[in-house]
Amino acid sequence: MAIVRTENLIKEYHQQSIVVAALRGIDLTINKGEFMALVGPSGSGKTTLLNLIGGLDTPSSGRIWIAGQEIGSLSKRKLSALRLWKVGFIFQEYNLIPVLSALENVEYVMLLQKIPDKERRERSVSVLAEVGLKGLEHRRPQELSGGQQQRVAVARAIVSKPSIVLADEPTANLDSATGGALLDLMRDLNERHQVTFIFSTHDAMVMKRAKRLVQLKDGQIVNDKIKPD
Amino acid sequence: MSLLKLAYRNLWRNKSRSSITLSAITVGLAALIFVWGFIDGMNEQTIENSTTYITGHLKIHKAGFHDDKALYLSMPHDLALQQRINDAPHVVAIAPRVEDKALLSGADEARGVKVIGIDPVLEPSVTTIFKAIKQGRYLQADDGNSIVLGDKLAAKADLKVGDEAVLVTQARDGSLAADRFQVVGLFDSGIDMIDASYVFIPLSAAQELYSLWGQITAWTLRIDNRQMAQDSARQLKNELGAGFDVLDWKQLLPEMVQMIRFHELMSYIVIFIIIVIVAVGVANTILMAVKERTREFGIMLALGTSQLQVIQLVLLESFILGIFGLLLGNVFGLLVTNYFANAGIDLTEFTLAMETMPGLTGSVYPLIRLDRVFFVSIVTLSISVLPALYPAWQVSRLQPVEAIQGVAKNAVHMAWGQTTSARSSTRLVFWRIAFRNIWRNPWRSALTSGATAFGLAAFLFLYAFTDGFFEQMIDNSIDFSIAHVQIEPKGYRDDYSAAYYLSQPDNLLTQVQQNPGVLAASPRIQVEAMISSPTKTEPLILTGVDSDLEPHVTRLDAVIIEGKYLKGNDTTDILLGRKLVDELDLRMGEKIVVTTQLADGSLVSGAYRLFGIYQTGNETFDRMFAYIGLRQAQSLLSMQDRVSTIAIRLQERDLSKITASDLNESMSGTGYEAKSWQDIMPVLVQMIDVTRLMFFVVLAIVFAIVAIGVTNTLIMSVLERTREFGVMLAMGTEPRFIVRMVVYESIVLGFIGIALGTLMGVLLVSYYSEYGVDLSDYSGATSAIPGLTNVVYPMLIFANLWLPTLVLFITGIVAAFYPASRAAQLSPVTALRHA
Repeated sequence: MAIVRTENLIKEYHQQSIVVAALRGIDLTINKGEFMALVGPSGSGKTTLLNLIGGLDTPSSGRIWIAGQEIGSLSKRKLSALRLWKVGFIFQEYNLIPVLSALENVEYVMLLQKIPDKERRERSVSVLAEVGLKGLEHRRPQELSGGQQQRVAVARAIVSKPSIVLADEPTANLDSATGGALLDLMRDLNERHQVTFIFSTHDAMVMKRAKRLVQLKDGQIVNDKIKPD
Repeated sequence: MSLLKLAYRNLWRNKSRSSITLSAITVGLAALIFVWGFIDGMNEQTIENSTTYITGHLKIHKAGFHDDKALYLSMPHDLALQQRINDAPHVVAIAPRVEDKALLSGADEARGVKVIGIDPVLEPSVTTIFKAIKQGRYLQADDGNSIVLGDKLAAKADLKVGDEAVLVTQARDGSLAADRFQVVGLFDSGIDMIDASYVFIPLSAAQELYSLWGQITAWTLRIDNRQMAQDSARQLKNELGAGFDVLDWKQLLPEMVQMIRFHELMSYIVIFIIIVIVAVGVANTILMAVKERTREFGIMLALGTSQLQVIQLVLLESFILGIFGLLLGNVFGLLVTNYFANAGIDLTEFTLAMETMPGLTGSVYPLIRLDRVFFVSIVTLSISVLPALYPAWQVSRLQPVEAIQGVAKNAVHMAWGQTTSARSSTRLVFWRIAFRNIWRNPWRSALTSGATAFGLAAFLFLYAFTDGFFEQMIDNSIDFSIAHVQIEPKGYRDDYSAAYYLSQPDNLLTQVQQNPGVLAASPRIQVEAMISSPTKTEPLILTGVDSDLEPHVTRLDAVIIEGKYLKGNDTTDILLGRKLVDELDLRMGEKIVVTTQLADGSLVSGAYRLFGIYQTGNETFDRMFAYIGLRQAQSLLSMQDRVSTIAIRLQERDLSKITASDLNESMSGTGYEAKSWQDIMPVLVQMIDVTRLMFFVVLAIVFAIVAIGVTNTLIMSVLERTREFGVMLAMGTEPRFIVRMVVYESIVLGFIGIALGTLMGVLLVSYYSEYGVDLSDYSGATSAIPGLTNVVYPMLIFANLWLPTLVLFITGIVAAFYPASRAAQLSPVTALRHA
């Protein structure tokens, strides 16, 4: 079942009078439960594609469906709601809200979703335990290591059970042991809960663990390879 | 690239940040220039008008006359000496005068006036009252018994051009003198104090009236530079020797000098407040602008830039901003001030209040003084550079790596995380984030709420001070003179004369006492009169009081400092104020003569014995009134059992207006009216209004600067957190929640500021309301104000304070909307990319 589908997706940026094409007609289908990576050199369009899929940005032309819904024509507000309910994000810079504790960061999305206190609290605690942060719930981001912060980010991304989790270079700021452990965690979540992960990455470790590699170059898909298990 | 160029480009790079800092400096400086210009203009106008209309720059008297204005201290009109003085350096013109007091009688009324006998030819080269003639003409060389007087005085005395007026006074030999004068002209200087109390007659006529043949009391002089008056006076004094006193305008008008000092003191306080708030606003913006760029400075350090160079760069940037702010602030400040300097600021609505400030006319023309402009410019430049020192020094000490990574050095507050409550809703989480963000940068928050707090505390104090000031004036006026309500015949208030009276006062008294709010009532007679000691004559208001009833209405009996309060109503005892007793040089038990006018216009005198001296602490009260028994006053004025007014004391002051209108209803058709203290003292009511107006102007300026400060802080804090907002938006936070969060922050900041400010203000006021603010140094300024003594006790009246406080709070919230909506309109992609 396709959870993400794009059709002839084009994204152009206008820099002064020059038009820069970041994506030149992407047709891509991603199924529920995939653990896939967008790879390619800097400037190939990985992050742009991720942003479009996540509803952070709008395409110049072409169409995108997320869980069956066409999102190109959605208002800002609807896009906001889409991101809230359907998409989880993990960033290279972790990007936790610095004034909130680990637990509160995880709870934040569910607060916006108006999930009742008790359920929210229980789910946050259990997901933090699942990512290996039991006992660190009340620490603020500055009191956590990089790997721990990224684990909080992962917990935050998956806690509301989104259709897709988008991870933009999630291991780039981590050492290889920490990065590896984090990837194992995500792969485990993928397998146990059927969470769909879409990475954009340069990292060989990510490529090694991904079940599908989509290679981009100059805004086009040049290779789409599903690895046998 | 030179540091200067780099600094300059940095400023251009972040246009919004630079323009915010710039606006803070510009508005602050422009406000300072204007406020100071306004005050200087007011003072300059007072001095200029007071000296040029009447007084002149210098005066020469016979030695001793200035301290004891007795006519035996006159001097021969020596023409050779007059010419010699005229030829002295810096002297532009000289004119001889005879000056004294008299009672002016028109058709049916007498009024105390100041008489100035002038040489019609020489006088116009020294003073300029001739320019203010609005009807008839000024005095001429061949005038005999002609008189020129102010339009206000003419209206009160019912005199027109062509009418005959009588001046009654005491001549040099102590005898009673009177002469008839024809009104030839009326002047309107715009200064009520002049227009209501001065008359001009030819010098020869004055010499005749006062038996001062060949004598004068003063020469008045114009010099080429008013600022140099003190030096010129000293030179002339040396030249003339010990037989003469030479006084400059500052000695001649000490009350004005003190009033100006009082104004200057107030203006320094206001200017200080504005400077502090501007300083905090600017400092805050610069602090944040530097902090925000930690990473950038880290890169510079990594590239080998020295610490000193980083400091220089930061300072240079603030300096450039300061210079631009200086230019813009000066341009705006000077344009606005200059516009009003030409157009004037119309205060005619408050003319009555202006009466208490001699020399002021209906419009104030702000004055641009370059030394002031220079001073505030330097102050503004310093406050825009100095605050950058601290962050510059901090930044230069960073380890490059830490700076680049933006690692926060300051520990974070664990406790906050652990005390998280289990219950929270969407709204609560934004409140929580807002609260914690304020903790995140304690310095910034402290400065922002500190500025709000300071502005509010200063305002509360000044407001409480004026409230105390006015309360004292009102209470003293009520307690010592006018009571809460007075019943009087219609027309009496414009003309304290025996021609207006209440008949059958006993019936009225009984009727009044039936009113439930009335505590006590007492009949009185009040007329204008002259009091004469063997050597001097002073105008005053003669009051006949019932010695049994009056102490229940006013409390003069409580401030007798020598002798006793009146006993009985038919004795020849008189009660005088301390100030008047000193001026007339009287001793207890001495006889004095009071002269006044009967209802038919004829003059009458009575002799009295000084029985008691009262002292209220206010010069106007202690000089202006004399009290005798009611029966005695009735027989002096042939009024049988009639009285002028009935003074009433109420249970509470607040009942005054309603009781007055009750009484008016019951007396309709009688020709009598009840007046509340507000009706009787419109000057006071207007003065309160004018002061309130001034305060609101100051308040508006302070609030504008606070608002800009709050906006700046929030814009900076939004700028700093661009990426954080990007994350929140990415996770599906709706923009309106972002707006809410920023506004909550401003609410918290505002709340802290207001709580602190109120606390500081209340503490300050409580301290001073206990010990009082001593204005003895400015007693000239306070004595001009009826009812005010030298010590003011500030008073917090909460009804007057909640509104400005609320407005300040709302100002802060409204100021938050711009940065909040900026944050909400961020595109998540751009925000996430933000360094």
